[in-house]
Amino acid sequence: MIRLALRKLLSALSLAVGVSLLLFLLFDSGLLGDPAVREAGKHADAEAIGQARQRLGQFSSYRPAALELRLRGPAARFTLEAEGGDLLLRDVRGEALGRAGLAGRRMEELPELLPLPTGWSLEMTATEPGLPAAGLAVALRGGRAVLASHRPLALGWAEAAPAWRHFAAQTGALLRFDFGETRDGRPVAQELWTRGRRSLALALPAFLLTTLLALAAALLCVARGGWLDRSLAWISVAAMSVSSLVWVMLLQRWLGGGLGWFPVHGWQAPYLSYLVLPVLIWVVAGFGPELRFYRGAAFEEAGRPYLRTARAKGLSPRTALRRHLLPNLMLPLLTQVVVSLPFLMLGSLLLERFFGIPGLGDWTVRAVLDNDQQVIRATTFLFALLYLAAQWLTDLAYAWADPRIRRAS
Amino acid sequence: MRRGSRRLILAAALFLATSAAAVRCQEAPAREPSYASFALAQELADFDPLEAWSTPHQVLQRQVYEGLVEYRYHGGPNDFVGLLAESWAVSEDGLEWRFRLRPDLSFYDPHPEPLWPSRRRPVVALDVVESLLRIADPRNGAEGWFVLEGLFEGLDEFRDRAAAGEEEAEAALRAALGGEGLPGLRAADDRTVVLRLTRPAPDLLMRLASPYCVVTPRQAFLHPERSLRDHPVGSGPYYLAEWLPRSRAVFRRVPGWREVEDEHGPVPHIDELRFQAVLEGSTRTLLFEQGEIDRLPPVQDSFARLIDGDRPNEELRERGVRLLVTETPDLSMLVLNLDDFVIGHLPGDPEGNERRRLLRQAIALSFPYERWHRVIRNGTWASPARRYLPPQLAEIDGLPESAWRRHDPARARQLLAEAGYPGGEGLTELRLELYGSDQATLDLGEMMVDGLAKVGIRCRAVPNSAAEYSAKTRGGRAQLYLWSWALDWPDAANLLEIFHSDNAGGGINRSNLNAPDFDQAFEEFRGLPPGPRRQELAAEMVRVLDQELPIVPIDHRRGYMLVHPWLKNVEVNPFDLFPCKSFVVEGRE
Repeated sequence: MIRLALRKLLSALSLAVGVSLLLFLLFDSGLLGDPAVREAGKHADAEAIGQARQRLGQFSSYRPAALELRLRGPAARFTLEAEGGDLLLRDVRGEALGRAGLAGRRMEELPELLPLPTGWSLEMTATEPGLPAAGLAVALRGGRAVLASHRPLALGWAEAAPAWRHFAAQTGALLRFDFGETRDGRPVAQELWTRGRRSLALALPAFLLTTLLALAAALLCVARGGWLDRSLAWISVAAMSVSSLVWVMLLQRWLGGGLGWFPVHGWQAPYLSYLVLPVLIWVVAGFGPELRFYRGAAFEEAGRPYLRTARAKGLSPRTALRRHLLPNLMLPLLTQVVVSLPFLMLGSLLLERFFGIPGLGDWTVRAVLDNDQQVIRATTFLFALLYLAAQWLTDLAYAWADPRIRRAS
Repeated sequence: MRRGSRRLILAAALFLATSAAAVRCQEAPAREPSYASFALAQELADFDPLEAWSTPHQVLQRQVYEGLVEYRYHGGPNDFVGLLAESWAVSEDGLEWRFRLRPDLSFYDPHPEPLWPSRRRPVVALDVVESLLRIADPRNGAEGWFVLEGLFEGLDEFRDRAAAGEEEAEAALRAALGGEGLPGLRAADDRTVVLRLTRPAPDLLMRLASPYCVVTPRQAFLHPERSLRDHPVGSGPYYLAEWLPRSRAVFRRVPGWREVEDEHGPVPHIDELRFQAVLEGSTRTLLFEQGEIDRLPPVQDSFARLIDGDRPNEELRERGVRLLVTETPDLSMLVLNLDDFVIGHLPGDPEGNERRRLLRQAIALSFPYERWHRVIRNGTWASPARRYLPPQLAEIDGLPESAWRRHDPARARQLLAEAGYPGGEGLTELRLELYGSDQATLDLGEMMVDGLAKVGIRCRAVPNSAAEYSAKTRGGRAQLYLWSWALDWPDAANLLEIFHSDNAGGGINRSNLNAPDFDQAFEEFRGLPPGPRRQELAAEMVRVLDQELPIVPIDHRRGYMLVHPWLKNVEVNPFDLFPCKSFVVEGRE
């Protein structure tokens, strides 16, 4: 038993590290854009972006004006870029004019390193002599500085936080459930807890109601067959054919707007009144697919020999369903229910958005659009853990529901 | 108890009850508290003025905080009245501004554990200084630094010193607040703020009326346990009474707020303001139709249903709904990157530059302006930009129209041939960068590519994610793209600065124009008040723009707002969003 628990714990740990690595690579590769540029805002200059990098932990140290440059010569300008740890001078056509190797050099040595076209001169003043010159390339990081003859230029200096340390810090924080703060400075853990509860308040009753109704209807289809089965099958196909978005807009406008039975939007006490209509819409939109699934599973079980034997031995259809079919339906039912549990935490994006329920669904999507790394990291990690927990629960539930599995284990 | 005593008590109780009833009958019936209800299309932002960059930030913070001055309600774009300031005086050289604070100002803290036992504390001049220093302190990463940058004596030096490290920042702050303070930003006494500028700034009041320059008490923004973000403390007419972050905010009138009156009576006129974030346009429309929100900017999907020409549809008109239309002070433009070696302006190549200038002119003349206006703007959502400045600005009068903002394929072909590319022969394929990859954006790209193809210019529309687009346009790697600039305040310099060479190379000068003539004119222009010289300089800058063609002006967007009849005295000022203290609610259904 201890070995099993250890094995599960180890697999959870490896999953956590794997997810963390994936997230680290995703964000560090810049696939989702440069968060520092985004954070710095509309009027941001190189200094504001550098400071944002320091706040985000990309730089362990940053000096906005470590080198002051003054160009003298004919009226035109050049650009300075960092490439492979070197400082590269280009004209506006993009042609390289000179390259200064920064490795092993100090800031005050730079004036000798950067060659210029004839007719130009460059004054350089290192405000903090002694710093390694490589920090200039780190601060430029993909950007470029314009060197014009009519104004001096200040170049920043930065020390990058090593990638492994950045990764280790992030993974350690995830394992401690320290999710940091959202882009607007709120603790992610607290937001997850508050919003998760609201999402569950919508999703749990809606899911249970849909499952129970679909299961009852599926059993009714098997027990009665004939026109009832055909009608329910037709209703489920019709309900599935209509997009969830249409259900949401239609019922919101009709039951909320037209008839005025329910509030159309909002989240305040008494919360129940704001939940009834979204739950109802969830049930209407979710009933079709659930019924199709349970009806299929129920008919499959109903055709098995053990049920025919039970009926042949004289059991009434109702008793045969209750004593034999229902317990055997438990396996697909458990699979469906337990696997759905992590998704419930995320709530319903559409319903939360249309009805103004401040849950996790819309929040997560917004975090992706806003490139809010801490939120994306936390929700991905949590979702992976929940999924793992759901799998363990499924294993346990199988053992409980199926004596053969119990005996085998 | 004896029977007599019991009778006496009964009689006394009866007397008290009837007296109370009589008194109640004599009192005027209690007034039902008035409220206004609004929906915003974005999540509600929080209350730290350091972050006042988005519409939700500005709308919510406007109810709680105040700055030195504000736009006069129903006044013009350059018409200011004192808010915290009772009066102000400017020295003859235009460099020293002295603001005298009103005597009846106080902060109000609604928190259960208030900062001050009486919940109030007078606002003093040092609060103004501290709030502006908070914006300048680099540790705070304030979005609003651009409002103050380069303008106040000693403030940029304070920022540079504070950037050196935590200890240096604390020392710089102590020096700025102690003794004489900074030369450009100091409190002369409890009621006098002195600002000394590095150059004359006719737009100073506009800057001070911006949402960033509001005043908060240091006890609130330095509080160790609570943050301004969720617990605003200001001197405004309302306090935050209920707050569900990002979703819902309710403001109530501050008890005993200072005595201010307008033509509708004591300000504020409404007791309670309710704001909620309603992200879906269809839900906002439904709430407006139900009368649950008081005003609605109609979304594109329901625009045709709700708006009939320049008025609300018949059903809404019958209900008394009004339509307010405002011109948005912005400029949508086609940017032509002058650092690009195919279409740009390169030093040391006068002949090539002339050919590339002709090419830029051909591109401008082939843009399908009419089709753009009809399809993308629905014929109504924007007004065509004939000049480089939005029509609200004083300098627009007498400015020449752009010579290249017209659709003239025949002339475009001719220019293309003069540039050395007859029928587009020999010209490499251009790249138009698109913001997004959805169908609407791709259609937009196709429309523009079609326009260019008709004159023989081959172009490819390139879809981009937001991150790619930002990296390309900021990094000078985009050749052609659409961009728009919304003015932060109604001063032409706030738009023209996007062409100054100081802002090129990753800053807000996205076209990378580097024209010394323009820079020189701009530097003089921004220090001048409205007048003939300013007008002359504006014309000079426009001449340079038309000659170099770093952008082609396309249009200025237009804002539509439906308002229920019970919400009165509503004015839409794009620079002063939701000044609810002036709104009136009467006869709510």
